[in-house]
Amino acid sequence: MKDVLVNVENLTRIFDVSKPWLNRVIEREEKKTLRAVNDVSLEIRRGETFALVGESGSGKSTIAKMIVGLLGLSQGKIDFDGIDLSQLDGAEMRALRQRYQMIFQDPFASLNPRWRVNKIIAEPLRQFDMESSESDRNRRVEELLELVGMSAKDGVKFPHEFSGGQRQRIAIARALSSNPEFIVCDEPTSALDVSVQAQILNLMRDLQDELGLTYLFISHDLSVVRHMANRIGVLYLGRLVEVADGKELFRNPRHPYTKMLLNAIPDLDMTGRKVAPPDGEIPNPINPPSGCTFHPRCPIATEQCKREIPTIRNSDSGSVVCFEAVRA
Amino acid sequence: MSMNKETDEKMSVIARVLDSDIWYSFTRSKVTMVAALVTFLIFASALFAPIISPHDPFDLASLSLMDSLLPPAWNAEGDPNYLLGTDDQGRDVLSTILYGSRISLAVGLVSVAFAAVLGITLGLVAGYMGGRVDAIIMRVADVQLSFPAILIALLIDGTVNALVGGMDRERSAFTVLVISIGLSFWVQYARTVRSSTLVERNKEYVQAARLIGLHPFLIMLRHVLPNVMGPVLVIATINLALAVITEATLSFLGVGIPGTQPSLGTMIRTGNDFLFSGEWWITFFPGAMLAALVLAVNLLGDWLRDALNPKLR
Amino acid sequence: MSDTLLGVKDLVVEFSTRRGILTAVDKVSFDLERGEVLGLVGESGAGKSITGSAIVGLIDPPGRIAAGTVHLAGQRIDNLPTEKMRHIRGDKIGMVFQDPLSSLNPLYSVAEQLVETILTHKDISKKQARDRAIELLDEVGIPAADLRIDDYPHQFSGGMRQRVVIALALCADPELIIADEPTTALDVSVQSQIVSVLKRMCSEHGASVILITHDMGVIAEAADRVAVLYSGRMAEIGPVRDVIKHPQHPYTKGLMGSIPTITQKGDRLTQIPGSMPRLTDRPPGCAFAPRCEMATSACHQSHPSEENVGTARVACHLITKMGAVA
Repeated sequence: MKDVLVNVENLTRIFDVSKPWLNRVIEREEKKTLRAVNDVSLEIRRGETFALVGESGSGKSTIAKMIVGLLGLSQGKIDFDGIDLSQLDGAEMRALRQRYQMIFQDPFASLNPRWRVNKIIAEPLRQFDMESSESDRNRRVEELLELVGMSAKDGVKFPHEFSGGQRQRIAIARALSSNPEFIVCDEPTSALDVSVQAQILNLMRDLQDELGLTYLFISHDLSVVRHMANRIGVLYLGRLVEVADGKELFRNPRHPYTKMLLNAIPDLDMTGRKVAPPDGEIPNPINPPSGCTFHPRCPIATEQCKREIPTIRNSDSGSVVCFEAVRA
Repeated sequence: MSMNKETDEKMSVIARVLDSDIWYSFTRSKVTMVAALVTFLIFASALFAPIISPHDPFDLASLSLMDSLLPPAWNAEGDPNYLLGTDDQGRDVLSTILYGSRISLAVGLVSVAFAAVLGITLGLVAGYMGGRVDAIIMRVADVQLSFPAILIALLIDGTVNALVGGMDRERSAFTVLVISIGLSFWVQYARTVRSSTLVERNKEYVQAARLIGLHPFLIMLRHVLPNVMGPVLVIATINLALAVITEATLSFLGVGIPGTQPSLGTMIRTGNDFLFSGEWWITFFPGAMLAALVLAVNLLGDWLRDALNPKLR
Repeated sequence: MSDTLLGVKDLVVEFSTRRGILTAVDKVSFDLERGEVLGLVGESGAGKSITGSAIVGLIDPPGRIAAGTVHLAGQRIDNLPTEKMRHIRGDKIGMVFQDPLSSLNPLYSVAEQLVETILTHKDISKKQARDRAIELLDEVGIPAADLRIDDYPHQFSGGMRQRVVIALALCADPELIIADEPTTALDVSVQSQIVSVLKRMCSEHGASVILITHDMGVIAEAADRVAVLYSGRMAEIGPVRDVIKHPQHPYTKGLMGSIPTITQKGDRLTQIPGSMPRLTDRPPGCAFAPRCEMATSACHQSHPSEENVGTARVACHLITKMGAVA
């Protein structure tokens, strides 16, 4: 029934942010750590778009990097299609790497400026020995360029000859070259202009339909997420505070933080909806508040919220981590 | 067919160069063009020294003490055969300069190449690997910085001499110079490359390469290296001038190239002895040549640094 | 008409490059009433920031104001000598930039920077200036302003820093505030705080605002009128509500359709094909024509003039001909 492609359990990432050893000894300071991601569990189903929303410091990019193996795990476990990633040897890992890819935020940094576009797109093909001959590879690169709405002739150009939107298309072509099933999209449109953002978002949806892709979509923009995602997870200070179906989350947000975010969305439809700027700012993640980390900004916080960390409560439409939301 | 493709590609490379911002900034700066011309002339004359120089200063048979210490040709006592005069052994100063700059430039180029390869490799590894490897390499670099080139040269020269004895000095001098100059210059490359590598390493194109499991060695070579070479080129240009000067200094102090096959520095030293007895040309002309070379190369380096700096464009 | 604070007429900003002269801003005209918030919106490269810089005389060579006039409170300011313009900027114009960290001097405490700015404009004692500074910080919503005033910029969070910058911009009681992407570097939940602080402060202090942003959401929240720039030219200008709800220019229409909203129905976003032309190869006619589905031959040949359509002013051949696009 639930065909889970990626299953993440109790994912935690701790960064060491303390000063160098010598300074620490002289200044008599303790080691400082930062829990960028704290006990996050989620499952991404085959063919869906799962979105992670959060502000800076919420740990959304850290989760993305851990899932694709660019960052190690401090604790927890990631299963890809039922395979525990930590149990794989080199050859098995290599085979699995073909099956997931990533699209990055900044199209100006994600393409090697010294390489021609066709070499950039062909790199995964070469790495995974996907096409037997040079001409097969070239044909595949041309196919990919056309798939993302570019001309096959664009392959001989350098990245700087393209606009931001076109570069993001090239990055998508590269991500698709190894025929992955799962693509992690880390804020793929936040560096683009709105009219170009629409092109990229539409392209990503078309590709999903055509190739049956599964997306993990990371964004800070709730409107974009609303447009793209089947299910949405809301992150606050490294913790997943709410997971719900896309429509449900917008119709009936349960966590006070989600409500706060929704209220801050500008009223572009001119419906006269009152936009309420949220209170307070995100606390320093090195020194997070006690109990529920959201309690200093929470309008319904109680004494309990200051002392205890709430646990996850599941229901039909999703899950939420909040004492009060569950009671209500 | 393939020929066509090749010429097409060559044409496009030329077109790209002529269309590039660097070429534009080059044609806009008169000083740089003059500096480039001077550098080119010096390199060319050094390269073709055996063809263009009027005499062979190393051919002992052709030397005559009768011709020693002749002033330049335009002087009353000058000999038209020796345009810039002769030195104490009767060698033609002009020819010796041409041959000498050959040696100076060879030492400069090889030692810069040596320093660059060493520094780039270590900087790349330190920046990309980080952690303990980085700490060790950079501490060694710090220690290295506290030794001036002359000290290293004396050290190596002393060691080599002790090992092979004085006889082979002529042959070992070149190697000793190259190694000592190279060893004292690599730190600059390592530091520059390391800091650019730290920036590039976190860029997303490197992450994309890591994502597909490309070997770190290949990532460094294919992705990071081409993108950190800009500043290296600038340092190398300016270092070439420095290396030539260092060679001259070392030779002047007597640790460098021996007098039988003089470099510019050796010539200046030899000439120095005659400066106060009025034979100024022996030291003046090599000195002027050295100054011209260093100035021109430095100007080129300065221009290159500005041209490659996107902030100044 | 007497209430016009700023009048920009046929402003042209050119940059001479080796590939010839680039016209970054091409005959842009607008008026700003006292107390009004005018949004300047457009994609990157549309010329919105350059328009802002041109108004305050901060175009550096190789750029220059090639034509047009800028009047501030009746005085022509686009041709003033540098020194005079500097005084006008200090007295009458406040600036808020995208990156709050670069607008504040990291070596001085917030108190020192605020007090110094106040003292250069007002003849009051240091103590009074400090009290005024605390008052301002309090107004922009910095908690415990009297304690935090002696902190250094790096001790504030991004949102708080931008509040300090707003306080700093208001120190001299300027008549005009130019805010260039004031919320772009901030988190979503902080953005709307800053927008509302900016709006409230300017109306309380009677300052007019030019709000430069790429974010229609910010415009919808803060601006009274909005000017949509495309490729250095004015596409459409009018009251925010009208432009957002009933855009006239095909570009504005496309732009509004391409923004995903939370009440959106349907799967696909309206997309404008292609991207904005580079300034080096702007088409001869309407700059938007190559991307416009309704473009006619006239659109490709000549640049449309601006016409009044209802409450808005629009530059589009289709509208001039038919009155309005269907």
